[in-house]
Formats: sequence, C-alpha cells, structure tokens
Amino acid sequence: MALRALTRSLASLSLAPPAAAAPGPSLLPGAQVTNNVLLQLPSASILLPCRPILTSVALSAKFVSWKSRTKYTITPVKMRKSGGRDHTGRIQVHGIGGGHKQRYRMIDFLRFRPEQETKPGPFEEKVIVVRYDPCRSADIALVAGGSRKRWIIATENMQAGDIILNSDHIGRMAVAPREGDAHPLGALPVGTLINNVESEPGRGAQYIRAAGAGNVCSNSRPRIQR
Amino acid sequence: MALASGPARRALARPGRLGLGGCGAPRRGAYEWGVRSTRKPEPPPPDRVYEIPGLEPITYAGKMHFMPGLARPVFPPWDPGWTHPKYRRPPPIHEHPLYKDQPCYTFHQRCRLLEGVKQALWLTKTKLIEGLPKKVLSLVEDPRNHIENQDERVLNVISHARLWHSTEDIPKRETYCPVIVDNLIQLCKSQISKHPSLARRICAKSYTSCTTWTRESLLLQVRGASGARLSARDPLPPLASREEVEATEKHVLETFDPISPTVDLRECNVYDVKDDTGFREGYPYPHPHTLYFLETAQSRRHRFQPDQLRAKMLLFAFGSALAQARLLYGNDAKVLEQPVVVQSVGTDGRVFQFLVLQLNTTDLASNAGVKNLVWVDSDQLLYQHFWCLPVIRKKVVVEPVGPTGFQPETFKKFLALYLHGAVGVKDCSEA
Repeated sequence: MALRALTRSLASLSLAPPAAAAPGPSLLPGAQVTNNVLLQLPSASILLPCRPILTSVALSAKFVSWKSRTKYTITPVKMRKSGGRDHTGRIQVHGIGGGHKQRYRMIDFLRFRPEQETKPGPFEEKVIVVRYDPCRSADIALVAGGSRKRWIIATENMQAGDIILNSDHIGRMAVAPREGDAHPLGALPVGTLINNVESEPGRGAQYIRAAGAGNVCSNSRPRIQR
Repeated sequence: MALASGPARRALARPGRLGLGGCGAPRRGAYEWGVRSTRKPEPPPPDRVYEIPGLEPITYAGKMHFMPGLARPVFPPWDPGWTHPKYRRPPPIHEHPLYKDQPCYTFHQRCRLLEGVKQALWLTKTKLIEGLPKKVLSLVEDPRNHIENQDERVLNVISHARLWHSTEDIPKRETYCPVIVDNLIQLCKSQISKHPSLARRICAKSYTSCTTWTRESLLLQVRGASGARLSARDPLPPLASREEVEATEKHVLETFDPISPTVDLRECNVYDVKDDTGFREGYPYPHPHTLYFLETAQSRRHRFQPDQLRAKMLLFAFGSALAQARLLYGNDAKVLEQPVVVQSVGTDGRVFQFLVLQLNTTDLASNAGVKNLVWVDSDQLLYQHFWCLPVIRKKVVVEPVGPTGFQPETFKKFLALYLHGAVGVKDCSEA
C-alpha cells in the first residue's frame, strides 16, 4: 500500500523539464545565441514545480496481534510475547523480553456486569478458587454467579467459598464495606481502602490493579455519580 | 472565561466531552475482546443521497469506473445459484427444524459440574445417603459369596492390568483402566456356577442414551455415550421400604445460591425431546443393572475429580432409570409403585466409587413431594500404589514389583454390587 502511494505520486512527475524562462539580453550585441537549451543549467535555488511526493515510507513488519478471540472464556488463552517491539518490528521499550511462557487468563475488569440485561440490579457471586496469574502481580479469583464463571482480580484476604456483592446502587447511607465487594465510590464511607477503580461507571477498572496497591477513598467534595 | 485555560477552556467550549457523554453512558465502554484488526470491518455507510426519499441518485454504475462527485451505487445482492462445498456455510440456527425458543440444558459425558454431587442431587431431585444399602452390605459380608482365593486372584488381576498385559515398562491409564475393570467383571462372572441367574445378564459398551425432564421450569437433558452397561432380563428389587420413601417428602433439597443449578450444563436451542434407553424394543435384556464409568485420561488436569465423577455417575444412572421407568409405566409424572433401581461403578483404575440409585418418582417439576434415593460409597481404594519397576536403594530391593496397600474390602463391594439381584433370586428359589 505504501509502494502504491509512492508510485502514484511519482507518476505525476513528467520526464521533460518545463519551458525555462526566456534568456535575458546577451552582453554581446549581434552574436547569435544558438543552443539556448544546452547553456541553461537550472540553478540550485530554482525548484521545479511538482506535486508533493514522498520518497520514503515506514515499512510495517508482518505483525498480527495474538488478541484475536472475541468471545469471553475462562480457559487460558495462548499468547505471544512482544519483547518490547511494536507493530513495525523495532524495539519501542527496552528491557522487555524473555521469561517463562505464559497463557493469558481473560480477566473481567467490569465488576458490575449483570449476566442478563433483563435483570439489572446488585447481584452476588461466589468465589470458587484463588490462584496465581503469570501475567500480573496480583492473584486472580474465579467467581461464579448465575450460570456464568469469570476471572476477577482477587483482594488480599479473598478465599474460596466467599460471597461477594457487585452493586451499582448509591443509597443515602454509606454501605458497610466488606472486602471483595464492588460498590460505586459514592456509596462507600470515607477512608475505605479501594482498588480496581474505574474513572466512569461502565468503563472497567483501569487504576490500582497491581498487587499491594490500594488507595484510600477520600470524598472530600461531593461528586455526581451514576 | 478569560481566566480558564487548557482543559478547563475546552470543557467550557464543549460541555459534552468532559464528564459523561450522554445520560450515564461512559465515554468509552469497558474493554471488548479482540483487536480491531481481527474484527470484521464495517461496511461503508451509504451516501447521504439515499436518505432523501423519492430522489433517484446519479451513480457511476453506467460509467464502469469511479467518478468523484457521483454517488456510490448500491447493487442488489447476487445469488450465484450454487456454492462450492469448501465454502458452504450451515444454515442459521433459527431455520433448523429442531430449533425451539426454550433453551435446554444438556449434560454429556465430558461435563464437569461446578458443585459436583450437590448440583446433581438438585437436578435429579434425590436424597443422598452415605454408604451402601444394608442389603448390599449383607452380600459383602456373607462368606458364601466370596470366591476361593479371592485376594490372590484380585492381586493377580491388578498385576496383569498394570504390568503384564502390555509390553511397555509402565502402561498408561488408557490401557490399564479398561483391562482392570474387564478382568474384575470376568472374576465376578466366575460365580456363575454358584448363581445360575447370573447368566441372564449381558454387557454392552458404547451405547448412547438420552433422557429429558423438567425441573422447576428448566428443561434438562442427559445424553451421550457413557461407559459400559450391564443389562439384565429381570429388574433389580427396590431397596428402601415404602416408609423410607414417604419419609423423603420432608427432606429439603440443598440449594447453592448464588450459583444457578444450570452452571456447566450446555445450553442449546436445537434439541430433540425424546427418551432413548439406547436399545431397541424387543431387546432381550431390557433392564439396566449396573453402569461402569472409566476415567482414563492420563494427566490429572484432564481427569475428572472424584466429586465430578460421582456427579456424572449419578446423572447417567438417573437418565437410564428415568428412561426405563417411562418405558414401563408411561410418560405421566407420578410416584412409582415399583421403584426402578440402577447401580453405578466409577473408577480411574485405582480408586472406586459405588453408587446405587432408586428412582421413586417421575414427578420432577416441583421441589416438594417424594424424592429419589441414592446410596454413595466414595473413594474406595483398591490398592494404594503399584510399583512397575522395583525400588532399589543401596543394592537392596526396598519396594518389590507389585501393588502396595491392597484393600480386599473394595473388591468385596464390587462383587456384592454384581451379585445384587442374582443372589436373592436363588434364595427365593431355594426357599
């Protein structure tokens, strides 16, 4: 595709140079000036007018991302390590590469995701197993609710058999926080340690996801939540 | 206004961008699986000219090449009339003749239930009793039922299956598990001279069965090929008395909120509601006696956990019992006068699980009423470990070749389950 752009722009160039400006009056009167064309050399300052062309283009490597799976599953998925290389094949970030082969477990970062659209509202889930995840520093927990199972980031004292609550409801009173539950920030009392925070409801957790991370919820000024 | 700068000024200029973009919906949704390059590209939107009704857009279709300024032509979809077999797609699910709106939750032989036996008990409306029934236990302890040199012969069977019958140094589970079960059944069959009614039985492998029932507005189905089935000409007598059966009415089935009972079952909309025992009419051995389930996967991850194996045994035994009950007594949902009893043995070559199911009722839609009964004896080791190669430390044989930790009780239970139904007949005929 890059080559096509290059050839298209080069095709707009014509082989013959355009007609030069008429020669100025010669110093020798009476002498016939023949072969004007040969004597006229284009100076470096005069650029031939032509359409803008590009003579170089970045070559993209044969890079296909391994993230081709569109359906969610709890089975580990094979992944390809990047080694710090980007889609061109050059190193973008140094110091990355090697290490044990890993399989990716698809983590659901949107905690409040009801199984069926027809049943909105807070729902509970049960923790089946908490296990090590090679792709991140935090442990992950397999939780089951209704008839679906998914992986989430496990909190510190989460154990198999716990019941966790996922809620999007903000009441007048702050909720008594339990470890592992998911609530909007407006429903939590000031001073609770929180992790897996999303910047807007429905976006999915993007902040405070690593092991040992935890932030203190400080609602010093009221913010409008969903 | 002049004091604001940067993002604040942009926010004031375009109030919709900062904050939520439209009534609670996030600006960008949660992560969607699959990179954009692997997703199917969207078709380009049609030209705005087509939105004006009654107007005939001028396209470059007649010119046979693109012309800037003219509309993009929209052609009717072309049907070539035939498809190459390589590119033939199956018709959409909705057009399948067996498509139904109500989903059916199917259990097949590779389903691993999350809650194991608890979930299987809820799905089959059954009450669990630990340990084998008294009648079978009396057969276990009765010395008249024992084979001569029983322990020695069982040890030979184990050594044959685990070491002798294959040329490899250490035979794999796929080879030794079926061999051990076949040899144990062969040992049980040697009692045919003492109990002639044992001859009225036949073993069948690779049969497929299918049963459908409703459970609290959920349509459930058990289908698939499970292991071997021992069928008999005569049905097994019921084990629990009528009083015990009526006492199950008070029993409340265990639920496992917040998990739904259909977790790990395959939800499908294309299914056939039928009851199939796996055998045609007029089969000389119609009554199911025992089902044998083998767990032959080599690695521990692929093998079923004991709890999951027991759940599978229970569901398949229930499936065959229900199909037989419907064949004998009709499709109505009622409490059975003559309960149907089916036994089940599951093993991975070393650990045995025994199960006896008594089907008391076919009324499974509601949670109230008489429940079915199941007696389960779980995790019976036949032997602790088998050394295929001798363990030699400092030129001394520490562990010889052969099984260690042999438990004769397990084979006695296996034999008792085999003889159940045949010994009683002989006693009746004797008396």
